[in-house]
This record gives sequence, C-alpha cells and structure tokens, in this order.
Amino acid sequence: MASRKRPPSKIRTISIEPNYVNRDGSALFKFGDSAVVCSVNGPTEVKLRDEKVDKATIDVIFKPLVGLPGTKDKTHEYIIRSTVESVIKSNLYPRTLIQIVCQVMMDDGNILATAINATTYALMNAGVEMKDIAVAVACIVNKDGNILIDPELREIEKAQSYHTFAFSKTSFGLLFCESTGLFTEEQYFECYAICKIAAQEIIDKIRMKIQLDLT
Amino acid sequence: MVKNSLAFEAETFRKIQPQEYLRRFIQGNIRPDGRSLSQFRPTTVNQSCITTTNGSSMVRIGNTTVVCGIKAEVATPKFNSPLEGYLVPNIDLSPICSPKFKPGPPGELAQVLSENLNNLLKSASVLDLTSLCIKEGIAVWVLYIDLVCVNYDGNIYDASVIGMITALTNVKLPEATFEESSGLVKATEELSVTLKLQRIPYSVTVALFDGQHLLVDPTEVEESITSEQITIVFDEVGQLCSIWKVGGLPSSPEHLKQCMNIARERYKQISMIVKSSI
Amino acid sequence: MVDRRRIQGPEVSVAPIIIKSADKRTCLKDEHSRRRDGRNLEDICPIFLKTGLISQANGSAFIEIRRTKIACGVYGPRQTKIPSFSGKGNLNVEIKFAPFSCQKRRQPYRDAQEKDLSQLVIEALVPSIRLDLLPKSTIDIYITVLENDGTASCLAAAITCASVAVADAGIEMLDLVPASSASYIGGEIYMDSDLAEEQHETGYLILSYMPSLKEVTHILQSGDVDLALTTQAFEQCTDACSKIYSVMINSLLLPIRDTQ
Repeated sequence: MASRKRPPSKIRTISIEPNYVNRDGSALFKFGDSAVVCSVNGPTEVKLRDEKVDKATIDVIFKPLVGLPGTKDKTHEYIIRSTVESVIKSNLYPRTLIQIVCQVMMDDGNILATAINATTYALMNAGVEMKDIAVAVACIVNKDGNILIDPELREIEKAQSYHTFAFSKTSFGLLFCESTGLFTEEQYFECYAICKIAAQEIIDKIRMKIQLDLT
Repeated sequence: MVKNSLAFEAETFRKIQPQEYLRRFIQGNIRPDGRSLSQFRPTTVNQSCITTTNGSSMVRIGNTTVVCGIKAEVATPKFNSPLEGYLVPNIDLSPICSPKFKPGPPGELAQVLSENLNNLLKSASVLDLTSLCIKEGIAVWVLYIDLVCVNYDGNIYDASVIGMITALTNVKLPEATFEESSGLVKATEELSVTLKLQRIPYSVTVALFDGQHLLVDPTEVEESITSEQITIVFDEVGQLCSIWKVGGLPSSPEHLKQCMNIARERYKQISMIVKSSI
Repeated sequence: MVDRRRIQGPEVSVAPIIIKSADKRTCLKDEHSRRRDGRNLEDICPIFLKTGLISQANGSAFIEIRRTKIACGVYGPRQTKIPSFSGKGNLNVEIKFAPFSCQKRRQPYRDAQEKDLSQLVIEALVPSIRLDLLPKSTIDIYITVLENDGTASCLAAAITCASVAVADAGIEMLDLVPASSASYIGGEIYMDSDLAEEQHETGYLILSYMPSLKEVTHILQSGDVDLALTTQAFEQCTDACSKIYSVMINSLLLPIRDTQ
C-alpha cells in the first residue's frame, strides 16, 4: 500500500465552486478527489400532502455516482435532512418546500461529509436563512491505532473504525455523528477533538470563499 | 364554575403544544408514562418462538414489539469472496404497528433502520461469514434476517438489535454437503449446526430534550417531540461498535459520555434478560 | 426485479434439498381415530386470544392456535383518502405473511395469495359491521401472519382475530364473526387441520358464522366432496364457531373485568 502523502491530521485540498448549476443556489464541494454537487430550490410550492403549517418542508434527494439510489443513499438523505433541519430557520418559510439535491461527482471516500459541506454552501448560496452552519469531517482509526483524518477510499477499506462528524459553527457542538467499526471511548473522543479542529479549518475556507465571491 | 385549572384535557394539550407538554413533565422529573428520566421500560425476550424459522426471537420493550425470524437458503458466493456467506437483514414497518406507516414498499425509516442493522453486522463483524460456507466458490448459506414490527412505540432500533442478535444466537442449520455428482446441495433433516457469534452487540438509545435532558429509551410520543437521539452500541467486552447521533440541537461531549455510561449499565441489564430467556 | 429499498442478498437463492432420513409415512390418525396431537377428528384446537396488544391501533387482537400466530390491528374509522362521497363506510383489509411465516421463505412484497385472502376476509366481515353508520369513513384492518400452520385454518383464525379486533376498536357490529375450517381427507372430516394434514386433503370448507343471529356471512368450499359430507362438515363448523364465539367474548370481557 502506498503510504499517505499528507500528515495524518491534514485534510485534502478543499475546493468550492458556487453556482455550479442553474438553480436558486448550488455549489460543488471537493475534498481532494471526492466531489459532490448540491443544488437548492426554494422556498417553493409544496405538495398539499407534505405541507407543514408552521415551517418549511425540507426534502433531500441523494444521487449516487453510479446506478440507482438504494438504502445507503436513503440513509444519507435522512442524515442530511435531519442535519440541515436543525440549522435552517424553517419557521420563516411556512407552507413551502426547500428541495435539496445532492449528486456525487467523484468518490474517493467521505462522500457523506462532502455532501453535508456542499449542502451547507448551496443553502447559503440560495440565501436560505440559517441560524447556524453545519460542517462535516470524517476520519478513520487504522489497524495500528493511528487516526487519519479525511481518509481516501483505499484507507477506509482497511480501517478499524470509521467516524463522520458534523459540527455547528457557532457553538462547535455536535450536530451529527456516525461511527462504525470497533473502537474505544478514548479513541472516539480523540477523533472527536481532531475532527473539531479540522472543522474549524473548513469553516475558514468557506468564509474565505464567500468573501472572495462577494468582492 | 371552575372545576379544574386546565380547561381542556391533557391529550388536547399534548396535541396543541407538544414541546411544552413534555417540558412540564420533565420539570417534575417524570415522563408522560410515569417513568423517571433514566428508567428503561420493562423488556422481555422470547427465543425460538417461531418453528418455521431457523432462528427466531420476539422482543418487547414496553409496548414496542419486534419479531425476528431467520431463514436459511443456499446460494453461490460472490466471485471475490468464495468462502463468505450472506447476511441479509431487513425490517418491515407495516401499517399494523402504527398509523404513521403506509402500506407498500419500505419507507424512509425502515430503509434507514435496515441499513444501520446491516452496517452493524458488517462493521462489528458479528458473524464470521466464512462459517456459512458449504463448498468454496460453489455454495454458501444465506441467512435472511427478517424483522417484523408488530407494535411501534419508539426505540425500535434497540429492540431490533436485541431481536436480531438473539435470533442469530439460536439459529440452527442442517448439516449440508455439496454432492459433486449431481451438483446439488443436500441437507440433513435434523437441524444441528449452531453459529458462533464473534461479538454480541446491544444498542441503547437516548433522546435529548431541550439540549440538556437525557431521556433513556424514548417512547413514540417522546421521539416525535424530541428531534435528537443518540444511539450507542457496545459489545460484551465494553468495546464500542457504533455511535449514531442525528438531528436536533448541537450536543457536547459530556452528553455523549453520559450516554456511554448509561449504555454500559444497560448492556448488563439486556444481557441478563437475554440469558434468562433461554 | 431488484428492490432497492431493501438490503440486497444474492440474486438467486434456494431452499436446501432435505434428505429424508427414513421413509416416515405420516399417519394422520391411529386405530382409535386419534390424530397425531391426540385430538379426535371433530375436535378443534385450544385458542389463545388476547385483545389490545397493539397500543398504537384503535383496536387489536392476537390469536394463537397450535403454531399459527396472527396479529391484527384495526385503524379507524378514519377519513377516506379518496375525496369522492360515499354514504357507507369502506372496509379495507390487508393480510401480510411475514417472510419467515411459512415453510418456504416468502418474498417481502405483496403477492396474489395475500390479495385473495384479504378479499375473503372482507367478504366474511362486511355483513357483521354497521358500515351504514360510517359515511365517508374507512376502517383499515391490517393482519400480520407470524406463523402459518395450515392455510385454511390460518384464514379462519384471521377472520376470528379481525372480528375481535374490530369489536375492540369499539366499532358497531351486528355480531362477532367466528370462523372455523374443516378438511376432507379420505372421505372423512378433519376439523381445524394442521399443515401436515392439509397436505393430504382433497378439499376444505371454511365457514364464517354469526352465532347469536344464526346467520352465515361466508362459506368457502373447494374440492370434489359428497353432498352428505359437506352438510356434515357444515354442521360441525357451526358447532365449532359457537365454541370459538365464547372464547372471543371472554377475550373481550377479560380486560374490562381486570379494570373493575
């Protein structure tokens, strides 16, 4: 196995392209060779069946790189929806629909984290009001017990445990977490701490990108 | 004439102001069903209750009831893993268990639950899949793990995990051999082969209300009011197998630590209950 | 067809071929006309019937006869989804066999047999329910078969169970509908036959009957049977229904007695 070219606690190069597709808001978010496009439509008309009288209905569609969506993609939809539901000020848009579509463009690991970040940027791009910002990072603990942040696909395959975290920007609390594999409590909180630092880095990148776009 | 300070019934209050309804209870350190915040509902496990299966169990946590049945069939293994059998877990949330669910193919929640159960089996390598091999590259066992929810009153994942794991522990397979001459797999009538699980994981779910109150083992009503849930899976040596937290307010590591302690205690309870059910 | 909403297993899988250890000819009865479980030909099995197990439903019941296990939940009367006006209530029944309920694994999606059986339950129950009092409403009855020990007796149990669940939901009825089944095997009538007996049957009769009104709501008979034998089976089934009726009443009274 070719060894990792970057230090264990270094995330891959992030690149963001706003207005990637022609929608109310959209963005392409890349962690190295993992890329997800997210488009946001809304607030728009909602089907009577899904209408909520006091807040917006948030609908997420997650499309995999190849093939038709399966249970894994449905789970991603569920995660993204619950995560953004807690940051969007949905009570400002009662009886409307905010539709979020994520399309995987390239897959080299951490698709869920990439998709959450793409969604965050696309929501800002669409001008949807939010009370907070969600940023996501993933990491693995490998067989030797070392923590590698933002792992690539080949690293994930050999991982002992795999963790994805989403943090909120203001309080740096945990919005979402999915950890699988076998790990100890200490390892978990170590991952937690390292990912939290990385999340700060991503927020800085996002802020810089926004400032650049506005000027 | 004022008979009661409440001009309407509690049920009406719950429907109009669900958050406030639950908050009033929590302020009194009690929950709508009379439990304390850290109290689990009575849990019962029945093993091998369905004879048409190779392994089965029925789990009740409070009102929530899940029946798990495992049926074994024979299939050819995947090309790149000629020794490995298959585990296929699926949960069915049919409209019988709650008015929330519609007839037809599995909805979002059922798909998410099935995916999580599958993830748990795989990532925690609960069963060594090579133990399901009949003849390398030709025939392996497929275990279809089907869970049917009969009554949905919250905390379905915990019930499903207990159900799935207990059913797996009481699976009995026939002695199967591959006949070279006919190219068929023949099996004995007696079911004598049992499976050896590498790990016994149990999950514990805690709901977080108002970002500070931990409600263990939430009911359907509590689940619908709190948007935040933390699920922690431990195995028998206290190793973590999964942590899952979705939705709601941002939470702190302290909450997670508390949840882990709760989960560790609860693990002992569950394994006692399962042991006594044999 | 690949179902993407479920976890996928291998594309094809088959039940293993069982080598029968010895030629065990199943003898359905001994010289004293006793069946394998010790019953006489005309005896039905003891019934376990309990109401109110599904807390989320308006009414529910659980029945266990031999190995057959059926849960039934009743939702409604609730508003009919289709906006067209109907002066009478609508009864909807869905029977679902759990994938593990039969000898061979069933596919999880709804098959033709489930649709047929659902229709039969509707036909058996409709005459007993006062649907004329429920305009614009639907009663949904969901039945899940957890284990199936003979399809005819399973259907009879499903009807019995559903009827109790409807009563448990507090829906107005003319009478409860117990149902019983009989199999014709070698010119004899086997009441309430199990799976092994069913495999030898040449025909069957399922009767749904309202005992206090002495009215039949549904008869299902198949196979080539002598008229006299059918009449006899019919008599035996009405007797059996009356016995089941008392079990049904007890199951409904029990929770009320407990609270008093």
